[in-house]
Amino acid sequence: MWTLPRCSSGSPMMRLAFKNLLHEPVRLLISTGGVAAALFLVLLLEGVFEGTSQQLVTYLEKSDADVWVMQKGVSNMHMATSVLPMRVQESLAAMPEVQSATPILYASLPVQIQDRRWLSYVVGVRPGEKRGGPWAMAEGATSPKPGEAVVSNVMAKKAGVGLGDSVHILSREVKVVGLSQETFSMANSITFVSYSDMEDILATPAAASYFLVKARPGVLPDVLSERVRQAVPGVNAMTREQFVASDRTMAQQMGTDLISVMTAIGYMVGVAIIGLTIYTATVSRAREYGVVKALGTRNSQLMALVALQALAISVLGSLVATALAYLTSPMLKVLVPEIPLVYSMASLIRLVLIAIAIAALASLLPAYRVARVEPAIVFKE
Amino acid sequence: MNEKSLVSAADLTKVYGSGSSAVRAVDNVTMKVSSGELVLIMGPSGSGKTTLLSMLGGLLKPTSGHIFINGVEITTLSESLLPDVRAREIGFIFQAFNLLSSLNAEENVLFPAGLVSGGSRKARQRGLDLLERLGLSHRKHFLPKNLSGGEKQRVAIARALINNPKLILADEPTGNLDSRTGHEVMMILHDIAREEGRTVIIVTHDPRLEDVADRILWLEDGRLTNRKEEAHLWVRDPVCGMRVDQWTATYLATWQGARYFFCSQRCLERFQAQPAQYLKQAASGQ
Repeated sequence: MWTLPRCSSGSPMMRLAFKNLLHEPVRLLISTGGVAAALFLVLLLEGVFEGTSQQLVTYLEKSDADVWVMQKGVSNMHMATSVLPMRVQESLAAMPEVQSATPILYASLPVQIQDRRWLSYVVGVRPGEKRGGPWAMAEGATSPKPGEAVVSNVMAKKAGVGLGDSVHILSREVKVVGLSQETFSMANSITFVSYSDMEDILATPAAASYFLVKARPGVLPDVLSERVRQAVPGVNAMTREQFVASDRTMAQQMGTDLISVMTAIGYMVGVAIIGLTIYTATVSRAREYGVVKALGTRNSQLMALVALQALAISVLGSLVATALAYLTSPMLKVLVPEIPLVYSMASLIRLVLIAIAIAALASLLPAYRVARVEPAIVFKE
Repeated sequence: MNEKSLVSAADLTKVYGSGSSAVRAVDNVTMKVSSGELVLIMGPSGSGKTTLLSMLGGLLKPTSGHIFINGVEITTLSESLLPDVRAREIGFIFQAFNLLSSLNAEENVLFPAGLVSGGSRKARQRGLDLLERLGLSHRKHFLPKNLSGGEKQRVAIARALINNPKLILADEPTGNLDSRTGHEVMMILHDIAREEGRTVIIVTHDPRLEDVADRILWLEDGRLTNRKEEAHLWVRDPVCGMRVDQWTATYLATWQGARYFFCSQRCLERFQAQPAQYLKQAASGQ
């Protein structure tokens, strides 16, 4: 008596699936290349977004502060304003858990270099104070005195200025005495001036935007931030990790819609390419699929074959896209240094998962087509 | 149903279309074919031979009637069960060979074995034995595009036999072959029936196959009828010299006002390339 055939694609179907793909190398190359190009653009877009998001919080990460103290109700640096009276510093210094509290003045301001204006995070730091200042230098002085500024080396290069040249922050002219690294992205740059200059620019004497608090050894940042909130009225205190996470979330929320639309377009292009490739391959092999049906292949096995082919193209395309992303990364960093590019593991894992989803989606129409092939087609000349 | 019948069809009808445009391709056919029998289904073009073969192979659902293969009624089987019947019980041989172009000869032969549970265990050795028996061992790694017509048909025969089916259905198996290769294929089919006891049902126009057939079923306008011997007009294929029934011939050409009939597409194409040469040879008796 006859038994039910195996439902799995089995080895002959797998062999046929891969042999069919390899039998038409040009078609395979074009489809894989197309999918790889679409996914590479998605990866690039996400990499730029991730890099920009990271760049936005680099200052916070490099601040060497265990806890950030800010005006109550404020929980960000990006797109936020915080003003605290200088007496907060005394309150902080009086706490036994606090080793030091360094004030900075901060505002997002235009920096004019020759005829061009650059939006920059301008940070006022006290002369000689390392905490809150530039952390990596390309050239020149680290700590600006009154009338001086440390600007991003990338911005300086793009603007055509160097050490000793003048720039304007609002109406105040300052001389470039240092060029910092890792302080420039598409979204912003960081410029360091002296604290007193920043007080004049903002017209906020005896005030600070944030205090960068260092905990005494053995004191956990979580505990310290909680203690500060309890002990000092009118302030908010966050650990550096919390502050970084908060700013990163804000940056991502601001760009998420745009990035989502762009990546969705990229993925849809991928679906279209794979779908079209597999569909045309299916149509061109309709007679052969009729033959394998006549020989005893079930519809479910043929649909699995089509899905397997789509999956192969999709995974191959995502691997090529990943390789392209990593191979072009060093070149892009040289050619367009203002575009920070970071490929996160989450982004790569998401790409692979989406590639699988793309394959499933792209194989729907071809699977429907192959299921409708009549096995009796084999007797037609 | 006859106990010895491997294949039987009762009141089998296939109607295409409906209403005034309905065409009865197969009309109330009843037939029985025993185990080990080699039966030809012949008849004029458009008489419903291929439709009948498609239904016997479970590739086409009849409009009405019943088909039994090895005691099981396939006309009532669900679409999910029919593929297993085809894989286990029936071997197909086609005029156009229908090999899978991306698989080599050996892979083509082994393909159906992978479709049945437990079929692939001993299949490799059996596939090699079949290729050896059909003289194709040295060509087993060749893709179909690199095989001759005769080799392709022998691969297709090996493929049809790989799962040890009791029934072989062949549609014009010599139609695309020259006379010598066609004769080889004919003898292979003869051996399959005689020596292995398989039932072979062949749809054909090739009168050579009549020499090895146990029985000839004549299909005309979708009905099995008595063969009209007087309707036959035997002529010679001007290319290979084979006897061709002018009345049922599929391959024909007109040249300088005269009509010529051919045993196969291959002979027709050869003639069309150099008609004068072949007519001269035919006239001189070469």
